[in-house]
Amino acid sequence: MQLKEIYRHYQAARDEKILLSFMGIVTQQLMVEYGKIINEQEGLSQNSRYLLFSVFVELTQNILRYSDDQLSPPPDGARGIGIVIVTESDKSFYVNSGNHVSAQRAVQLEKTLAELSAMNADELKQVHKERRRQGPPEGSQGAGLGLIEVSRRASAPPLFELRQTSEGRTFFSLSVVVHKH
Amino acid sequence: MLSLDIAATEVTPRVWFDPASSCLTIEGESYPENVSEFYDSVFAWLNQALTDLTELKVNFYYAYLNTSSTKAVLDLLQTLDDVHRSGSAKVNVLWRYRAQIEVMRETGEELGEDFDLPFELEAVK
Repeated sequence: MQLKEIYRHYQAARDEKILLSFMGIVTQQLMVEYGKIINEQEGLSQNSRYLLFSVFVELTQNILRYSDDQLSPPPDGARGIGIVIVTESDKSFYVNSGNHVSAQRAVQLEKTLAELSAMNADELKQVHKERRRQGPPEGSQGAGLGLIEVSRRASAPPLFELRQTSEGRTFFSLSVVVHKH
Repeated sequence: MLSLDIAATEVTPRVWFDPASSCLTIEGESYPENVSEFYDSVFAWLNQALTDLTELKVNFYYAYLNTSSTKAVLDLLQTLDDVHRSGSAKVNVLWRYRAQIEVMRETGEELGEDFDLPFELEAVK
């Protein structure tokens, strides 16, 4: 990297009001440390801070567990590669994540997120209840509740993109907004 | 034999049993990387304890609960609910939450609705 690029990156990050961002190997420990930055944010209600923290944890743990670029398989300790960027505007925070996913997971994500984004709060509550009763779907390392809960905690339906890359892989981008009040 | 006291960490709650009040308390954060690894020891204790106890109070007071921990709580409540239904022990659940965190009250309400056992909510100011 050229030296002048460092300032360009710094400037771009400041202009975008990036609260935190990290790219590369994502670990649980890293998430815990960055989570503290979120929990120290002011200018939002305690409930909103909880919502923001919870969206941050879910999106980051999704990279740990489901990124297609895994450095060591669970349960020894998941280490997935991805990017997390949290930005701020006057009224909201945005938690953005990106990582490669397997073709199989891409199909699941597309279907699940398309369904969830069309639901209102009551429908999301109902589908959460059904999932609690049914238990996790095959291939889930958690409760299968993650994206449902993220959708419920978001202030607007999450935006997502599954992009085919020139390397013939699929890159999953997700953006979730949480209002400050 | 029934003693239990698991210290809290940054990402796991303190879990302890008070024999005098027959009360199991789970209090703190819950978002470990491997949820079942942590909760397995709680289940092991619970299954053992339930062979002896005729009464058990369970207090939950989570500061934060991620979705895979929610699954563990569901499993705990299912075990307790089975005991309640069978009548082998009297079970009471108390879900405490910080009053300002509405989403924690909501989580408690919804979990309570999923089961038959006595389930109370308490806002902590």
